[in-house]
Amino acid sequence: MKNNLKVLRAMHNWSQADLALRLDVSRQAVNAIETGKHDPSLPLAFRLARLFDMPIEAIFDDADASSSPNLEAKGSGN
Amino acid sequence: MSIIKNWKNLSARRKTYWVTLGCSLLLGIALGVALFDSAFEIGHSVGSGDPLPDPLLSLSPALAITMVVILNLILWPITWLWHRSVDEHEEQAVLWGGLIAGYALIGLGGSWVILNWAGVVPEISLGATIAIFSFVWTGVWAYKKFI
Repeated sequence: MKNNLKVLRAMHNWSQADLALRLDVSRQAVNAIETGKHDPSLPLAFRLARLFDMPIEAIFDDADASSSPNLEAKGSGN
Repeated sequence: MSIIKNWKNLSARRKTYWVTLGCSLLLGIALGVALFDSAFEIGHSVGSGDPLPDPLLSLSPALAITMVVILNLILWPITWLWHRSVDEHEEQAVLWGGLIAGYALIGLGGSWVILNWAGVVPEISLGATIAIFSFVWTGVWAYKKFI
């Protein structure tokens, strides 16, 4: 899953190891998330959101959202 | 090493992870040293084409029982603690490694048995199948974790 983690990390001047320490995961896990090889679990995604004080969808790009017309139609109907 | 430098800042979970890995390393070294003479003798026989030594003579029962007891008393708690402390990325790597190693065991082990029935290869070796399983598991784990 595409994400802005690398940019957000750079804005805080954190290395992957720094971010890993703050998230309580390995540096390899941070690298795998940044490169889109590992999709974080919901608890880890929420930890990221809290750490950067942003909503999850501002960090991760939900590419499937544009290809789900039924969900969007239901949402706009309410 | 950033792990040692940041040891004080690591969470209890990450500390448990590294301690269990360290204990596993020490256990592996201790068992490797204890088995060295027997393994060297077997390896030398395989390399030189000599007949394999009698297993009953190459490893004393007292040493074997001691090693098995230590292995099972220490390995299981360490493994349990490690799995509780590992992060989700590595957990995925371990699970995928085990799954693909299982497929490899079925595929390669099954092929070996069929070829043995046809007399193409010698009888299947338990040691070799464990080695295949371990190498594939470790390889997939390393690929998923580091690459």
